[in-house]
Amino acid sequence: MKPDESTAPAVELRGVRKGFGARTILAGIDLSIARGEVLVLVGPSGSGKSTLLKIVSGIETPDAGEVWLSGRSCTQIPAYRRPVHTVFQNYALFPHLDVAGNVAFPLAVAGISRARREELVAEALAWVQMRQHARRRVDLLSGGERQRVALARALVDRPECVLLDEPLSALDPQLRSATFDLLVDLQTRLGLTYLYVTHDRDEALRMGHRIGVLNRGRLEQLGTPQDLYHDPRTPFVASLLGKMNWLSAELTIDGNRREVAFGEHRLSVECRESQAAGPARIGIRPEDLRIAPAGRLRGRVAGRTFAGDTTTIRVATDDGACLLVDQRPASAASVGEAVWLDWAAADMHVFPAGQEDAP
Amino acid sequence: MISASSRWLALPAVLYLSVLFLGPTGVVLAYSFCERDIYGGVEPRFSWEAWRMATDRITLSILGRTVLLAAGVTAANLLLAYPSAAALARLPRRQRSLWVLAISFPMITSLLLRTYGWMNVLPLSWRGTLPAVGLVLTFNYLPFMLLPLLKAYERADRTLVLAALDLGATPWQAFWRVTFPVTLWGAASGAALVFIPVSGEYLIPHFIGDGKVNVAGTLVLEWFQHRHWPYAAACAVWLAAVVLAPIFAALWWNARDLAPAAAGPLSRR
Repeated sequence: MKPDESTAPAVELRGVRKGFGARTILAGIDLSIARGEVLVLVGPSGSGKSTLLKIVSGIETPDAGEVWLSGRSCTQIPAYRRPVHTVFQNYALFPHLDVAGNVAFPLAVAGISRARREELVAEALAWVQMRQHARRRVDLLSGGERQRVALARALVDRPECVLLDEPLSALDPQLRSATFDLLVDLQTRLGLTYLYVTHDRDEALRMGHRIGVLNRGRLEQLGTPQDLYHDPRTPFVASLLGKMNWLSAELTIDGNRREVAFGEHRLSVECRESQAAGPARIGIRPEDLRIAPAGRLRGRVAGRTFAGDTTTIRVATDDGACLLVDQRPASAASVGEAVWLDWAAADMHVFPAGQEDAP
Repeated sequence: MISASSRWLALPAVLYLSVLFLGPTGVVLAYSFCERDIYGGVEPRFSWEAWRMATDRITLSILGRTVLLAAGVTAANLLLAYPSAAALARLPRRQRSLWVLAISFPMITSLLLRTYGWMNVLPLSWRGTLPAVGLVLTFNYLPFMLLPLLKAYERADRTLVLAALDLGATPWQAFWRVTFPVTLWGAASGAALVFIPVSGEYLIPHFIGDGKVNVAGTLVLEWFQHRHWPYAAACAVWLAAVVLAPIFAALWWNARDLAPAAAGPLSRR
């Protein structure tokens, strides 16, 4: 697979739909991934992200819509002739082949000469620091080693895009961060294109050049991690990518002025033009809340959780809500103490009432 | 590992086998080196006569035909069972058991009835031919090939085939490079379960072959009936040696990684 010099996106989906029986899995997905980009798809289980990956790889066929790979229409092309490879969640290493045999597989089926094959396999194994294990049986490898073999196997013939299906979910936390670094390092060094599927928000935020949030088969928002974190378009995106405190308030619109009322406090807010006046949900991230001598909401400290680099303070407000505060440095307020909560008006995320959260 | 104390649990089986299998086998081996008495039985005197007869051209050609027949039936069963096992393994568990039951159902009826049934089904001109015998044998032994193969398919991870396709293997390459090696242990067990008994078959060759298809089983039967026990015994020993040799060779060759490679922790669910 020679890298195409054209500027066509590595992967492009146009109106992709998929259903199983009466169930809709994907309800019209449009997205494109540039060469050398990392696009992370994040969503709860059942949101359709794995199905989307399978449609790109060719293992599943869409009911409608088109798949373009490097400027070539691939909707009707079978999986084995598409220039993309998948790193499977369970690695799917071939148990009857050793490490080198697994990595050589894409080259062998493509009919590449033995000498060239050995060269490329050695190179790919070096990328993942597995060269010394080339002749090991794969069932004797640890989880992390298997993951690295699966990665080398997917990279060995330099596909146009690597599809990663929750690649870290089966690893323990320490290995997870080492493998994460390896994935990022290889991507930058080799200029790879990743389509990365995960349900873990930290992975998504740290890995993605762009993130697409999938919810019930719909792409709810697509943008940079900063965009999605600071300017989520729906409560679902807001709560999927980080903790969120939710408050109810009434939105009033008076000409160009939009205001929400908290008790006697009226705050002018920015929100989407389309949003109508009426009951609204206000989201405020814990790190945007402050415990202050005077503020907008009154409450009582209900608990403190020390987690090393942060201290989360739970505040029960007078009207019965329980809010989380991640202030740095943490306020010294002790449990039971009456406090005021304050925040900048710009840190409020205003949504119409009744929209769903992420689970 | 088997501890010394639990080894005793195998004692009944070991006793049973030594008394009723190894003993008689020894007797047969001994008979083949004896002289024929005037009634066709055995005279306890050493003689090479039976073995001279058993290595003549006629006997060797019959043994050759037997091996060919058994190999052909095994191959035909492999060809039939592989696609069926692949299809069955994809069915939901419940439907699969129903199909397996349906496939094994003929085994419930008596072998004799089934064989007579075949005699009525086969065109008269086919009776007494080697292919007809092969056909009926293939039918009879299909479950013995299908069931181990199905087990191997069930145990193999289906994502392996998807991974092969994803990595650029055509469906044909995916079969030969992944599915076949991963299910080989099932095919090997099935092949042994078909090849061994088919080499010793006498009932089906006798009835379907109409007395015209001579294989090792019919040969042994005939010569015990025609009262040349030493020769019949030599043929029986020959047959056992011919059947067991490839199996021991395969076991010796593959003892290390036949089953474990296919049933490694990766493919276990």
